[in-house]
Amino acid sequence: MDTVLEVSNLKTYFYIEQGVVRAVDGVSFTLQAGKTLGIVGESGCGKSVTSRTIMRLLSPSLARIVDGSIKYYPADGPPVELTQVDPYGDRIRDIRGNEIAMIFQEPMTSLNPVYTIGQQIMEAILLHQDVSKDEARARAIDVLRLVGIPLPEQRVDQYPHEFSGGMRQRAMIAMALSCNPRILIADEPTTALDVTIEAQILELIQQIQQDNDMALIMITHDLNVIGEVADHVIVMYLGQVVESAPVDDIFDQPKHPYTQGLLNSLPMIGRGDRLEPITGSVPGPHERPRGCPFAPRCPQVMDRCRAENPPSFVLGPASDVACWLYEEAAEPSHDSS
Amino acid sequence: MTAFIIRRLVSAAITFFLITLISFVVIQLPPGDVVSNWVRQQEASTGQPMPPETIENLRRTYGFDEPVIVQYFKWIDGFPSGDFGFSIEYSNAPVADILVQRTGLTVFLGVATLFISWGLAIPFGIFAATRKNSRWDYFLSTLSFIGISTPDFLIAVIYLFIAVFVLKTDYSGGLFSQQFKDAPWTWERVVDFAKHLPVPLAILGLGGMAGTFRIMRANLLDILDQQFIEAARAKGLKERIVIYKHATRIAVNPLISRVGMQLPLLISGTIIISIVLDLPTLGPPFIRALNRQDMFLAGTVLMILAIILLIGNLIADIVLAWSDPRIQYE
Repeated sequence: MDTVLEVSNLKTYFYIEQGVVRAVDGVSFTLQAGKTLGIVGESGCGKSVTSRTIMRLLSPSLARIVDGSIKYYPADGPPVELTQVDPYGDRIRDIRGNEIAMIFQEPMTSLNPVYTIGQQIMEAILLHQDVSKDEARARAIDVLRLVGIPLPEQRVDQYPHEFSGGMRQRAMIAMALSCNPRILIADEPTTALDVTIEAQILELIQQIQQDNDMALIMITHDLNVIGEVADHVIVMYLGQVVESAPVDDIFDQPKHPYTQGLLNSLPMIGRGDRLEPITGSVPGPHERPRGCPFAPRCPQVMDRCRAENPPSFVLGPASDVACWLYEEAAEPSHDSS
Repeated sequence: MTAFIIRRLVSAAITFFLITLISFVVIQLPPGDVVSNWVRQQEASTGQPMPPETIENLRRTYGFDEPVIVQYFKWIDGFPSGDFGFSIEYSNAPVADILVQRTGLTVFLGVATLFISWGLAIPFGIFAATRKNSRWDYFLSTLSFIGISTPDFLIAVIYLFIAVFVLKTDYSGGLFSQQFKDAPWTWERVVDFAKHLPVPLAILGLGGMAGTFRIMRANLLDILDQQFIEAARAKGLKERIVIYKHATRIAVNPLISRVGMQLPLLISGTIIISIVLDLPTLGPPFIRALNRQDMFLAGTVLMILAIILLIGNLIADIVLAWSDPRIQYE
């Protein structure tokens, strides 16, 4: 399997007037071509900051990458260390939209209202590919057809406000796919959409992923979406990865108390018993607990949890959990670095 | 679009009619009229009371003994033939003669001021917004606060002081040298005009800049926070293209809708500056006419301002429809 992206011990801190916010605090994962990584967690856990750090979209005056590495492996040529590139430079702009593309949560506001859908798709194509305007337009119509927009020859000249929410998200996906990216980052792509539209969009993304052998990072707070699309899942809490495991393990035998809590608070048809929400709420960025970040809300909290932040314990070839409960069961680290 | 323009022209014509009627009536509402003002002036200079018959005669000659509404229709009756009445204040000169050149100069100054203040305010707004909370941003914002809170005429006096005593220009007010004041347009007069122009244009342009700068900066900051800006960056576009093509393009739209209202403001708002700098615009005769209830002159100036307002708004609407596809005129 080809690794396309390797993130290790990534730390992105925000330096604001009130102090330092450790938005991403030691995140590691590996992304394989054609596979889907799900990143799940509540609002404010650092999911979106992780994706924007990979794309280097954060303003350097606000957010700083203080540690860790992001290695991108291009189809040809040596790997690129994305933490080291100039966020306004040519190298990252070659990668953005061309090799790593992104779709956003709000289809209603992700498209510029004063340019036609076609102009916005063609903009990306003309930027990254050596084609004429007519060819770019033909390609734009092609991708619109690919994402299931009816009458693409006419729709290409319409403005975003003439599209419905679902159609706009399809247009966003078309824009992201227009240059055949090797990695697609989808940041809550279906959160703002109806459930029926959500299913269609997820199916569409998976279809395209299979056809192009594209790697996908699916960021969501919705475990149902994760169950639908992901191969491997990382669960984030307060900027840290608390559990990392194949998708079946996450649903069948969740290890971390936080993952268990998330699953127990998930409504499922046919499950008669009451939902069990996780007690308490995510602490604010400045009230980070000293030990394990989840300790104040954890039903199985021990004294040690409040004092010491647990490292990642290896439970299997692709399973890690950051919880003191698993210290005994842990194998020696498979990742010695 | 054509239907929209026609509909707007029809409603503009009705608005125009109502404005002339209301302004004509309102000018006459205060006690007294132009004749009594004129008589008081004559009595003051001669020291002798004027006989009531003479005053009555005067009123009858000018038609001021008739009801206001009759006077109004007599007044607008002359419009098609270019007759806008006469001004008692200006020795019975026809209003058209008094105002024709001043209107041209006023519109010229207004439009030139607009270009200068926009041409400076928009780039400065972009500069400040893209360097939010930097020292430059604070500096420009502070400057614009001072600009907004200082009355125009004070700015005019300060700038005039700087122009004359600091920069040592030989500007002494006005738009023409003495010998060209009432001369016909010749090449020498154009040159003289061009020499006089920089100081008043700088004063008027800088005065209107502060507000536009603040609007531009705030608009752009709003737009830069939008998701589609991040999406544009995620496409791999250059920061410059993101700022200009994607953000500024939208941030100027509210300015366009403002221009329709700003144009007559530039013209009526510069009355005091015009008096301070002795500019031959519509301002000084307008003030004089209002003081003396010289209603043909005052009514015509108000009418000109109304026409400029209507044309300005029409142009703004058309430009906006072209610039923002979300706006539909159905």
